[in-house]
Amino acid sequence: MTTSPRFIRATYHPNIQVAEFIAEDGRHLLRSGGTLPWRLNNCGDLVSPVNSSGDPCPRHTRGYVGFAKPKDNDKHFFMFPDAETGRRELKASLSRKYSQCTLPELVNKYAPSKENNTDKYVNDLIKETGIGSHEKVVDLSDGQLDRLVQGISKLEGCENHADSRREVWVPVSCIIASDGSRPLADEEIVLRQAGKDTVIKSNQVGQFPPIPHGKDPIEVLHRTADGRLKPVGQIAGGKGRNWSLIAQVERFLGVSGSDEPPSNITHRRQPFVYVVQPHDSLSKIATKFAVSVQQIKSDNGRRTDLIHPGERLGIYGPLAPSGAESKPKKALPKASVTTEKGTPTPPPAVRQATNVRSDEGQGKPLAVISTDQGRAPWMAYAIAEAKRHKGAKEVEIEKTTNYATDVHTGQATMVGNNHPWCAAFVNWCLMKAGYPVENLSFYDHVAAKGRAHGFYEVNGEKDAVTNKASVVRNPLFVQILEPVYGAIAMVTSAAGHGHHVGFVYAKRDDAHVVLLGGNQSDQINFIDASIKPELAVYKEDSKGQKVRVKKASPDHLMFFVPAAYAKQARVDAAKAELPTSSTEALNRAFGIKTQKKDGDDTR
Amino acid sequence: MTHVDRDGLIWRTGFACLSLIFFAGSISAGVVIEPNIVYANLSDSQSKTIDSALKSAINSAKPECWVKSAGLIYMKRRPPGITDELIRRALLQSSPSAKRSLSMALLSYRDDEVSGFDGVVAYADKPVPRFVSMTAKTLAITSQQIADVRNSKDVELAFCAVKPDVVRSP
Repeated sequence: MTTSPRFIRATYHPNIQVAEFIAEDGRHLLRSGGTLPWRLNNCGDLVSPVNSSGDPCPRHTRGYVGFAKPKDNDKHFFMFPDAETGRRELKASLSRKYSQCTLPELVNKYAPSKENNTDKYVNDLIKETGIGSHEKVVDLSDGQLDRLVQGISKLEGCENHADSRREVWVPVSCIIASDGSRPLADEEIVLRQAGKDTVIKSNQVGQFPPIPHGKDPIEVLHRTADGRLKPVGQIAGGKGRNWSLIAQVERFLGVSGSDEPPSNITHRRQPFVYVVQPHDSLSKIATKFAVSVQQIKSDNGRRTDLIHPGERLGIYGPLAPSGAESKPKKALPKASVTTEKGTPTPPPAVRQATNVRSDEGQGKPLAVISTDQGRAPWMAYAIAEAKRHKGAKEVEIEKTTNYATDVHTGQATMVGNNHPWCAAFVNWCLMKAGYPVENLSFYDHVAAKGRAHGFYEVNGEKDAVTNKASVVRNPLFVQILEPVYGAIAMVTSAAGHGHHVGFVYAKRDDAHVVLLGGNQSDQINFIDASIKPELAVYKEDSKGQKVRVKKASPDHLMFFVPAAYAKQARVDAAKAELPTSSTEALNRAFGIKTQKKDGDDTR
Repeated sequence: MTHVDRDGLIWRTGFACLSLIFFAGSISAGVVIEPNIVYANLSDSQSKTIDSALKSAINSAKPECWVKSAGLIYMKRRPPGITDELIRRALLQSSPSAKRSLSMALLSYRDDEVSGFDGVVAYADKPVPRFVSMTAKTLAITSQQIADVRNSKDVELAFCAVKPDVVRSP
């Protein structure tokens, strides 16, 4: 295992007594046979304490990648990435806990008589290590401590049954269910291998359980609306990969096909929420839904025709009262769209079509209109927050919403110069829209959600010798080359480190985009950001001397979208141009107050 | 036979504090568009012409190098401890101790509108009319001669040339 790639996570399968180690390159190592300490690389049988919920809650021990709870055992044994780490932690533990103990005292505590033959254990240990029975652990030399670790390891049976040990490397593929723009929860796929079918379901954020490659290729099948199984791909070969399962079949809600509506269908058009998309205008929306501009304005209490992407409009009726506090959304279920009271309504997970009939609700359908609100659904949340807080400072925002604690970045407050929250705000909007933001397999996945750079790279496992963390590309986000509406824009330094993050909302000109983000001068607001590094700007004074009025800036933008949104982002990049706007106009339009009461920037 | 990993409250609390310090120092995520600046007129005449030209430039419809409402310049107000004498010693005489004291006073200042200043800009008329600035933290001094003090555009360009960088955390 010493030459294997670094392991970032491990799990134990008690029923089949197999330890599964997940490497950062996506492969899985299965260890069976031997003894439990060998399978877990835990030669000292180190066990984690548990919290009040019964979950493992390690305090001192470092370097573990998982826990194993064997069958018929309540204890959570540590799983270490290699035997060396296991020995190091055992040694550290002995020095920490038993420093004032002699060998017999140590054994009495470490291997109590109710579980072991303590006297035999002591004698065997003295024989193995050559350490005197009166010597205290604190007085042992490093070499003696190593021998003690080795002795305990042997007595614990770590080296037993060596002939039954088995290690198998298995490539694993991961799949996210998506409709091209949003993750789909509870989506089913069938894995067919050697004629045997296994059904698996996507979780709350569209992720299927990792699929280990077998000897035979695995065919991935998706069930169509008429119940047939349609092949969508194949898992085979020696290298695992991550891919999105794009729903192949668009699903339409509402009636279709019949010219005459059934008599029990209500004649009144049902109000619904429409999220304004880039390049929409009130007249376009009115035409789309066969309603007058005046009616939309009246329903939504608007005096002007000005609308902005991400805003919510009530169509065929006023908007429900909106608040912002809400629980995170799950990825939307297969064929239903639910609305949580008091929250911005997310766009549907599937292409929703509405049958619009005449004003009287009778006669032939006017059209089957796709409302197509699939573009950056998280923007509705970002816009709703911008409008709700109207430029309030972070100290005020935190009184109602703490983005850092909501997404669990490990930071208690957003207030103050040392408490950044731009990444927390972006993750909060994505989470509300049902996109995965958590990489449980990375050891600092909590803090990563609070880092601007975390959308690009996160820390992997730390090297035992250098104590330096490896850098891993965050698989939840896909980098795109061009800015598209709603893309996550990471402001990146010359050294390639992201130090701010926001959403692309519009473009100011070909060289600048308008970002909507949090922790921008302590507010949620719109700012300009240069796509590429900027050169210094010089102007001539009245004597013809060149004066540098703007310094060169190495900052530039990198763009990302959630992996489940990659297809839509490609479509947007090819077809949809960003709308042009200015930060001043947008801040004014969204009621984002500037910090100056009188327009005077001097005091 | 098992061995449970336990520890005490002191260690946990210590680790939590260390983590907090580590994260607070290692993460910068957010953005500040314009600096907060303390301005001082150090000319012998204390002429208000330059001051009003600068104020007009900053508050004009399209400032040359200033995003409106994104920063603040304290022209009349003065944070306690930041005297003309301290600014003179730091900016015109380049006294290291004065620069350090000034930087500390700038960064630590708090009121309803300002949570720390990023630097100081001073106007001096001897030997030539010019703006001199110091950026807090980096203590970098920049100077730019004003081509014509009666020309408001020249005043604005010179200010742009010395405008301190944003150094406070978001």
